[in-house]
Parts: sequence; structure tokens; C-alpha cells
Amino acid sequence: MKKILYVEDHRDTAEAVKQMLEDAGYEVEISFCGADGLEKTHKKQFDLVLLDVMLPDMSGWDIFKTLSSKKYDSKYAFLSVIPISTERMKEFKKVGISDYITKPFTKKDLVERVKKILK
Amino acid sequence: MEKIRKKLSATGREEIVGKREHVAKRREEIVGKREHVATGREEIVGKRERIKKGENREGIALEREEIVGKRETVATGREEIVGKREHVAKRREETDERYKVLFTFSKDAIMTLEPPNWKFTSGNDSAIKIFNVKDEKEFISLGPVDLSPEKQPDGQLSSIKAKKMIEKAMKEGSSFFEWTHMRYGDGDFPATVLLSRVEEEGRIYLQATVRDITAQKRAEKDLEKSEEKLKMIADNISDVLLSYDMAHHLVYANSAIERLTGYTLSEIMDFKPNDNRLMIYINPDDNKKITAKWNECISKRDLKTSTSEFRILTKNKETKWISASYGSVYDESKKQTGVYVVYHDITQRKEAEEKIKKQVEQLKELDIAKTDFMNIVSHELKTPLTAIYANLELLEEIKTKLSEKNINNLNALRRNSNQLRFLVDNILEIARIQSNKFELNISKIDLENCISSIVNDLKILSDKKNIKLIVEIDKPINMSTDSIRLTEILNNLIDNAIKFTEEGYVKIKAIKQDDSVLVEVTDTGIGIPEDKISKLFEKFYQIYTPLKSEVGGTGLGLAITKQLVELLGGKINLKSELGKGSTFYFTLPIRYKEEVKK
Repeated sequence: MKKILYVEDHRDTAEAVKQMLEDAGYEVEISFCGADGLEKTHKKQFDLVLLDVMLPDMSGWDIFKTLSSKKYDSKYAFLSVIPISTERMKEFKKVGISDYITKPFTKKDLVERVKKILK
Repeated sequence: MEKIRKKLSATGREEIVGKREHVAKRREEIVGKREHVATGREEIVGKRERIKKGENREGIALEREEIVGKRETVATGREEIVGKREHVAKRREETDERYKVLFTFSKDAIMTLEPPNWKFTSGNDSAIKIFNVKDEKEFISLGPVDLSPEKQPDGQLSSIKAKKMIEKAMKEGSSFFEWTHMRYGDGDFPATVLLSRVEEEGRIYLQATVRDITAQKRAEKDLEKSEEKLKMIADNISDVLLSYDMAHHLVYANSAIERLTGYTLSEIMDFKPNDNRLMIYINPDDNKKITAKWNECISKRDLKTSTSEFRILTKNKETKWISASYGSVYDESKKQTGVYVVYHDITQRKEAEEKIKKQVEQLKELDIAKTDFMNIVSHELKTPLTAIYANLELLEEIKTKLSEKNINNLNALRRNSNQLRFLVDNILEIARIQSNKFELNISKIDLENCISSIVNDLKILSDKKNIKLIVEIDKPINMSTDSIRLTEILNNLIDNAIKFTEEGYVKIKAIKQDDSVLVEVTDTGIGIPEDKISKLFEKFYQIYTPLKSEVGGTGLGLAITKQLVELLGGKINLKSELGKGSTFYFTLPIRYKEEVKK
């Protein structure tokens, strides 16, 4: 079973996403802040780290940079309310960000994109 | 006149030499003193022709030519005369004749006056005319003091001063001075007087040549006045006038330069230009600019319209803005001899401009802040919306297990969530368009394909209302634009048309023009009142004038559409008739160009 870590400070969103992904057959852990998210990666190897961009203690980008600099072997994707351009997405892919999902999203859309990343 | 001639003829031969010397000396004096007699001589030459005709005296003209021609040889002739009496006799006649002409026809008043009472003893025609006397008889009854005002301009009594002048002439041989004369029984006039001592047959007397210099004095005064006037004007205007020679030496400056810069004229004149400052009052930051301008001034032929704006630094270290106009100074041969410059103080204007600039910046900042604010608001709205959507979707999975009443509750949640999301999306869109971060993705598209796919998507809505969707495109139109934005524009307009139409049709027409395309979306809907057309593209307009509640919408759709059309380099407008329908039409360039985007 593929393991997913979702770092999201908005609890209702985090819980719902956890449920959606668990329904799709993934093992999901959630963190409500950056520090907790990083802590969890120390204890467990996740196949995918889903990151919210704006967190109370640090940004999703900071978590990504910390983990990728430590060569933490995982896939990364962002979930954000801020849309980005296709040009920007190309740059993200170059540095190792698999996807960028704009909120709100449907369960179908989310599950399909996660499936694609973890294939 | 006859009397004079007799008197002159009576002159002894022995005295001729002395007399000629006298005449020669007098001539020298005359030449030396304001070409007094030179002019007279020219007059004589001019009058020769008149004599020739009028008096018909044979030989006179010829003789006179000789006199003029032989003037240079008079001195040498003098030596010859001593030895050659025949020659002397001839020359005496010549001299007499010459003097006679000079005396008779001179424009200057020529007269003789004799001691001891120094009354006039003779006077020529000009003397009679100038002094306004009846005839020579009346003239010789008078003396210089009778024809002078009581006092001279220097305050001396004319009688005393005249005495002094006569004494001087008698002592030194001649005296030349300015004198205020008086016409007999009339007003004063300025004159120059040349008194020459004459010794003849043991008699000593004075010959006086008086020239009326009223016109000359008037001209001098006029010139003085106009110069004074110009100086007054130049010194009283607030603009600075400067004149430079070609080596950039200041040759003239009006006093405004002192008021403007706080430096004295000598401080400005004495300043030696260096790399930092061409002039003492130049702001070093603008020195290069001014040096370049100066070089332009001395190399360009026509400087009529040359201007420049720069800063100066006053003695009190105050910065002032100057608008300078430059022009060339030429000499008679049209050769440039210098440059004139006019400085106009535009500090106040510049300050006002700076103020406006700052205000614009502040407004811009405010606008950016507002856009950021909208981004934050949108973010804050979207975050809970994400949770609502996710949880709603999870609930909808168990819809079949719910009662009909609960299903209605769930549907109400879904409807209003959709409405809320639509609103938030539009707000975010507006914020994004207005921020500078908005990016376009230009690609090649076929307009017909683009319209067809939108029409296909919206057909469900029009079918529901039994409205026909008509597409009219005359020929294939290939465009280079942002397809997502164009789809958004068309989608908004067609969706709106269907929304506000109850029966009839919605027609989409595309016409290719030179390098643009015109798209019209016509409906047979409710129409728009004329007074509201202009407000239609404003943000949130609909919110303040709600239409039928079931129609819905955010009031941002048309504002977004307009901004998108403009971002793609086009224009949008509409025609509408209340109760009959509306036509929204927009143009877009077929090939989007970067510079179109503002």
C-alpha cells in the first residue's frame, strides 16, 4: 500500500482529503503544520508528500526544499488555492514537483492525479 | 554778399600765404572735429551742378573741379607761390572762390564777428535762416549773446561764457564747443560752434561756424531713451537673458540672473568652467546635459526651437528647475558669432509634476494593495470552500441511503456551494487580471472550432429554454491568441445571452476584417435600458441592480470579459433595444502582438 503524507493546516480539508485518498486505497497521514510534517518524514518513508502552500509555521515550498535537499526519496505535489501558469508548472517539474492541484477539486480529479504520480 | 567779396578781394597779396595757412589750419581743425567741414565740402560739390545751371557762370565749375583736385598740392604750392607771383595770383583767386562757395552755400551758419563789442559783421544765408532773422542787416545788428538764452545748460551766463570762448579763440587761434543758441524771438536749439581767429590787413576778427545739432541731439536722446527702456525691460523681466560668444564667454546678462541664482554678476562672469560645472550655478548632475547642449548650440545652424530643461543650484544650495531656450546670434554676413539663452524658472511646475507623479504612484500602490487584498480574500474564501466541496462530495457518495428530504438538503448545499464557488472564482479572476502577474498563452487557433465547442457545451442550457443557437462564420479564421481567454470571453457572452433570453435565438457571427476579427453575439432577450449600457461593464454592477433572482450571476462577468478583450488587444461594446434584444460585439487582432498588451 502506497503511503501518502498530507500537510494541511485546514483540518476539515485535511480530514476530507484523507478520507478520499483512503477510499482510493492509500495509506494517508496528515500534519497540521510544517514542523509536524517534517517530523513524520523522519519516522516514515512516504511515497508521496502532498503540500499545502500556506502553512502557519512555514510554507509548503520550505518543506519541499528541506526534504529535497536531504534527498528524501519521495514524490511531491502541491495543493493550493492559487492558480499557476503552465510556464511555471514546467519550472516546477524540472525541480521535482510532480503536480500542482488547484483547490477546490473533485474527488475524481484528485484521485486520478495521485494515481498518475504514483504509477 | 557783395560786401564780403569786396572785403576778401581787398586782402593784400603778402598776406595770402598767411591766410592760406590759416585756411589750411582751419581745414585741419574742421576735419579733426566731427567732419564739420568735410560734410560742407560734399555739399559744395553737390551744389556745383546747381551753380552751373542757375548762375550760368562760365568756368566756375571747371575751376572748382581743379580746386578739389589740387587740394593735396596746396602745401607744395605754397613754396611755389613765393617764387611765382602769377601762380600766387591764380591761387588767390581760387581760394577766394572756394571760400565764397563755402561761405555762401554751406548749410552751417557762417558769420564774422569783430571786437571790441563782438557784434556780427557778416552772416551767410544759413545764418539768417538758422537764427530766424529777417536779413543780413538785422543780423549784423546783433551779437552772439543776443542769439543765446540767458544761461547755458551748465548754468553759466551766456554773456560770460561767450566772452571766455572768444578769448580762447583769440588766444589759441580757434575754439570748438557746444552752445545753446536761440532763434531770434523763438526757442533755443543746441549747436556746435567753431570760432577761428582771422588776421587780415592788420585787423583781427573771428569767423564762427554754427551748426544746428537739434536732430543729432534728438537722435542721441532717442537712442539713449530706447537703450534705457530696453535695459529697464531686460532688468525687470523675471526671465534670465544671457548672451555668449562662441568661446562660451558671457558677454551679457540681465539682472534676473542674480535674482535667480543668488550669485552676483561678477561671480558668474569670473567663474572658470570645470568638468563639474560649466557655470557656477549649474547642478553638477546636469552638467553633462548642459555641455552637450552648448556643443549643439555652436555646431547647429538654426537654433530657433532648441530648448532644454535642467537643474541649477543657487548660492543658498537650493535646487531650481530651468527651462532654457537657445538661439544663435549672427553678424551681418550671417556668420554665427554667439548664442543667446533665455532661462525660465519652472521649479513650481516641476514640483507640481513631481507631486502628481507621487500621487499617481500612491494610487497605483493603493490599487496593487487592493488587488492583493482581493487575492487574500479569495484565498480565505477558497480554503473553506475546498473543505465544503470535499466533504459534500463524500456525503453525495451515500446519497442513495438518504431520505428524499435529506437529498433535497444536500442538493441545496451543492447549489449554493456552486454559486459561492462561481463568485469566488470571478473575484479571483478580476484580481488576477488587474495584477501584473497575469500571463497570456498565445497559440494558433481556428475560431470556428473554438466557437463550435463552446456552443456544444452550452447547448444543454439553450435546449432547456427552447432557444436556437445559430453560428454564422463566413470563412475559416485562423487566429494567434490566447485560446483559454478567448473561450472565456465567448463563453461569458453566449452564456449571458441565453440567460437573458426567454424565446427566440442567440446568434454568434464572426466576420474577418483586415487584420482583426469582429465577433457579434446577438440575442432576442429582454434588452438593456439605454442609461444602463455604459455601466454594464463596471465591476459588481449587477449586484447593485439585481435582476431576476433565478438568473443569478456575480456582476463580474462582463467586467472580466471586457478586461480580457482588452488584454488581448481588442475592444468590446454593445447595442441594445429594450424588449427586443441585445448585440454584444468585440474585435480582436488576428495576430496578438506583445505591444498591444498594456
